[in-house]
Amino acid sequence: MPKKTRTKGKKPPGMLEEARKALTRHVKVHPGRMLIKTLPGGKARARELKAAAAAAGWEEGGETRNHLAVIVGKGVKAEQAAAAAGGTDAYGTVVWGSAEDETGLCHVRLKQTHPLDTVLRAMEAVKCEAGLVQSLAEEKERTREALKHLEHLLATRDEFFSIATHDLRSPLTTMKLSLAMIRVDDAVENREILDIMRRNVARMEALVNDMLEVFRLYRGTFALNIAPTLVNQIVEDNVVSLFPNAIEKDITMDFLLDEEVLPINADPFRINQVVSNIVTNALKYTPKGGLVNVQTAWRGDGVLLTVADTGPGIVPDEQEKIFESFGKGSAETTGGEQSTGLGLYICRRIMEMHGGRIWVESKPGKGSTFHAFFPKDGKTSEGNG
Amino acid sequence: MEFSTGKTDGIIVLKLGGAVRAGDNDALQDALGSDDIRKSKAVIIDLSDLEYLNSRAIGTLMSLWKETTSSGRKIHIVNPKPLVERLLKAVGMYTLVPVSRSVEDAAAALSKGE
Repeated sequence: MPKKTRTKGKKPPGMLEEARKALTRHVKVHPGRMLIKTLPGGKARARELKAAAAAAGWEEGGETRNHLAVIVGKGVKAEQAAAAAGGTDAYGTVVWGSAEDETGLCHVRLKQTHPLDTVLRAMEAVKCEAGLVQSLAEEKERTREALKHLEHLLATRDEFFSIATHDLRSPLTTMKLSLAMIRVDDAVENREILDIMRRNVARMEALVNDMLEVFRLYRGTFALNIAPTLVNQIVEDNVVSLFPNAIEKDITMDFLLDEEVLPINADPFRINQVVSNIVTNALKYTPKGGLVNVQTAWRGDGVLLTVADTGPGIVPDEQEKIFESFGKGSAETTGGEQSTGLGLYICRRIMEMHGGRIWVESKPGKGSTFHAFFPKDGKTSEGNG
Repeated sequence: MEFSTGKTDGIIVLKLGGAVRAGDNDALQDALGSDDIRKSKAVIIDLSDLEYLNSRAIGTLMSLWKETTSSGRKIHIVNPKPLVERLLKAVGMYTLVPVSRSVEDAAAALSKGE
């Protein structure tokens, strides 16, 4: 087999393509205009780099006062370049650098900005015939613009939430009161239509309330009012109030409260919100003839609430997604009940604010078990986005 | 769950005790569907020793109430404990079924046609 030989000065096959890929990867992380600088004797290398940079979509730009050195060239060593740029501790000034890669190129990125002549000196010192130098000023400007755009988007989102929650509540309340004032005798023929209207107003009200809660979470105005809280009492109140729904849906609802459970320091209103959400969800998704079992247990450092149902279960991919905003799972409710997709997201945030935890264990077709652990000494942190 | 039946003044007295949980529901349903109860002119349900009953058990009692009253017969509840009382109130049973303090009071009320 003939031995392969390499002519001095010729680039290895595929190098240009490899360099293009390397530069494309880099420009995704650090967009900006590039100066292509050539040292004496490096014209051929400069042409290669220029072609690679152009193929990667880089634009050439003008010189600015300071530059972030991105030296790409054969034989460049990170520590050498950093030291030449003025750093006494080579690794202290290098953000990243690589040894020669498969393309024969090295990539060096300096931590600090430098005047162009310093960068060129660094290139010279490491015998880099040609290199690319990134204008930091432009990168900073792009970052500033991106931040400004993001701030605008956040302000728009806040304004939208404000309209969708506060401004929708007033007409909704009026509609709800008006519907309540219609006497059944007056509208026997329209009873079905009235029921549809009532259900939809209730649905809208639930959605608006949930959105308002999410808005408070985003704005950081979702505060906890910590007080001695009787979790067992909250659980019992919720379960008892849902007994009529369970009987109507022909679901067996059972509860067993651990008498050892002590009062905890928590926000009772928010704990009630979590309990109500989990228990109501279990009823929503359990079919006729099914079972919902609610239990509490004292764990020494807090209370564990367990709500098990014989519903359709949750596929593994959705077991975390359901705790995200608008992260509804694919399962359908069994009695036409509505779900905003915000309830469990709010629950998780409430639990986190208390220093607690909420999670689900489920197997499709085998039902779901939701757990919520309320620590005995809840935090007093405020919610934020 | 504990369950027994007896008679006082010719009225069936159904006594429930302990707790009615998911595993007891079928047994309760069978017991309430017995011929003695179905043919009795009145039924007294003594809940004084019952600590707890689940939603299905309440549904079973409601079915018994519907069946009894629809055939012109009477039904009384006796002395439920606080939690049981709360559960019966939550589903509206307290407004439908007369509640007495003792079996004797219930029997006396039933004999007067109340």
